[in-house]
Amino acid sequence: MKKTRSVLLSMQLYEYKVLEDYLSLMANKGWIFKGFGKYGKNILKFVKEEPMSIQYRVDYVDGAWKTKESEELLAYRTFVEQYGYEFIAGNLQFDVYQQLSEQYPIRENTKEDQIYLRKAVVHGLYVPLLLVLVGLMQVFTNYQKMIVMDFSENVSIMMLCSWGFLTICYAITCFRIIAWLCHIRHQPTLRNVLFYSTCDNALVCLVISSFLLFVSIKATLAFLFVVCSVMLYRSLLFANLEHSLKQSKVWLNLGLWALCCVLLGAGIVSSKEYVSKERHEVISFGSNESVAIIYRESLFAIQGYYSVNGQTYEVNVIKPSILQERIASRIREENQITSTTGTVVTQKKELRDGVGKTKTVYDVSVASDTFLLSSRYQQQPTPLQEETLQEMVPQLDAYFLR
Amino acid sequence: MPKKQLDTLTEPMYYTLLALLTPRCGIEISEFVLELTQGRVRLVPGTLYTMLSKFESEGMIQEMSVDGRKRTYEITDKGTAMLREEYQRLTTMILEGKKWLAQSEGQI
Repeated sequence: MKKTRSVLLSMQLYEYKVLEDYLSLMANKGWIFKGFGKYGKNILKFVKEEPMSIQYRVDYVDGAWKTKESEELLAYRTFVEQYGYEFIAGNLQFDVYQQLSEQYPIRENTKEDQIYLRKAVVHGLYVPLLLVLVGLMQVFTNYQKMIVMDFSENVSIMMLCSWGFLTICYAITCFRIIAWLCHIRHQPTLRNVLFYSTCDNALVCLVISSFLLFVSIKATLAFLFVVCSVMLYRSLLFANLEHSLKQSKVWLNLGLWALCCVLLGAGIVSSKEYVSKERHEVISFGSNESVAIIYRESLFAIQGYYSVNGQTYEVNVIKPSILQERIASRIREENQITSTTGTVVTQKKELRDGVGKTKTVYDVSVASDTFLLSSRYQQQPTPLQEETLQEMVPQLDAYFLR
Repeated sequence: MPKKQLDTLTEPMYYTLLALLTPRCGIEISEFVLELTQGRVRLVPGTLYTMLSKFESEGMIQEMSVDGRKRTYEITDKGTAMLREEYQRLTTMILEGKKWLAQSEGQI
C-alpha cells in the first residue's frame, strides 16, 4: 500500500499562487497531490511516489458556481482543460490543475480578476464577523447573570475563552486581509502562509479546547497535548521540506509541546487535590439543629448543600470579593426576599414540562448578605423555625466570610 | 437592478466576436486571436469563459454544438450588428485621427 499524507493548510482566496508553489515543492519531494479531504476543504492529500517536477496551476472558483460539481463548474473545468491543463481536484475555494503546456495561463490577473478577488475575500469576512459580534454580545450581556444563576466555574471560563479566542482568530485574519488590500504584502510567500495557517489552526484548537473545559479540565489538557503533538510532527515534516529547523518553528512547537506535557502532568497531579477541596462540615446550633455543609469552591462562588430538619437546601454563596450590591439586590428581587436577615420565602409554582403536563413545585429561598439558600421540592416542605433562622444566619455568614 | 447592457466592446471582446464569425470552441478562439494579432492579444481561459457567458446571456453569441462538455459557439445577428457598429466606430476614430494627426504633422 502506498504511503499517504494529509496536510491541514488553510488559505485565503488570494493566496492561490502560494498553493501552486507548495504543491510543486511537495512533488519535488515525492509527495504527489491527489485531492482535497472529503470532509475538510483545507485538507490536502498526498501520495508518496518518485520525486518529480510537476507544474501546478491553481484557479479560484467563481462564486456563482460554488455549488460543488455544478454543471457550469464542470463545463468550466473542461473549458480550461482544452488549454493544456489536467484537472486534478477542486474544493469550494480552489481548482487545482496540472499544467501540460505553457502557452496559456488560466488567468492573467486583470483588473476584473483583482476586483473579483477583493470582493470575494471581503465578503468572506461578514459571516465570521457576525458570529464574533453575536458571541461577544452574549458574553457581555449575560456574563453577570451567568455568574449568579449558574455559579459554574467551567461555564464562565468556557464562554470567555471561546469568544476571546474567536476574536483573536478573526483579528489575525482581518490583519492579513487588510495588509493584502493595502498592498503592504504584495505577494504572499509560502513561509508566511504556512505560519498564518499554523496560527489559524492553533487558535481553532484553542476554541475547541475552551469548549472542552465545560466537560473537564483534564480532557482539555489531553486534547491540547494531542494537538501540540500533531503540530510538532507537522513542523518536523516542514523542516524536512525546507531543510531548516528554525524556519519550520520546530523549537517553538517543541516548547509548546513541553508546556502541554507539564500542564497535563500538573493537571493530573492536582486533580486529587481538587477533590480534597470538597469539604464536609457540620455546624451545630440550637437544641437539635445542625447544618451539614458539603461545598466545592469555584472561581466565583461556593456551591454546596445544607441540610436541616432532614431537608436539603442548595447553598450558593457568592464570594465577597465579587459580591456586588446590584447582584445581591437582583437575587432578592427575583426571589421576592425583602429582608436581609434570612427570611424564608416559599413560593408555589406551576411548571409545565416538555409534554405539557403541569406539576406543582415549591421553591424555598433564604438569603443573607453572604449566601443564598435555594431548593425546590415536589411537596410542601416543613418551614424553618424562626429561632433556627435567628441562630443559623449569623453562623453561616461568619462561616462563609472567614 | 437590470443588468448593464454592453455599450462598447473592449479589445478582447472585439476579437472574440470577430473569431466567432466562424463557429469555434474556446481554444480555437484563443488561437485564432493570437495568430491574428501576432501574439499581441492573448485570451486566457479564465477571462474568455466569463466573456463568452456574458455574450451568451446578452444573446450576442449562441451555442452551436456540444461535444461532451466541449461547447462550440457562433455569433448571432445581434452580435454581428454590434461588431459592425464597433467596427464603424473604430474606423471613424481612425479616419478622424488620421486627418488631425496629418494636419498637426503638416504644421510642424
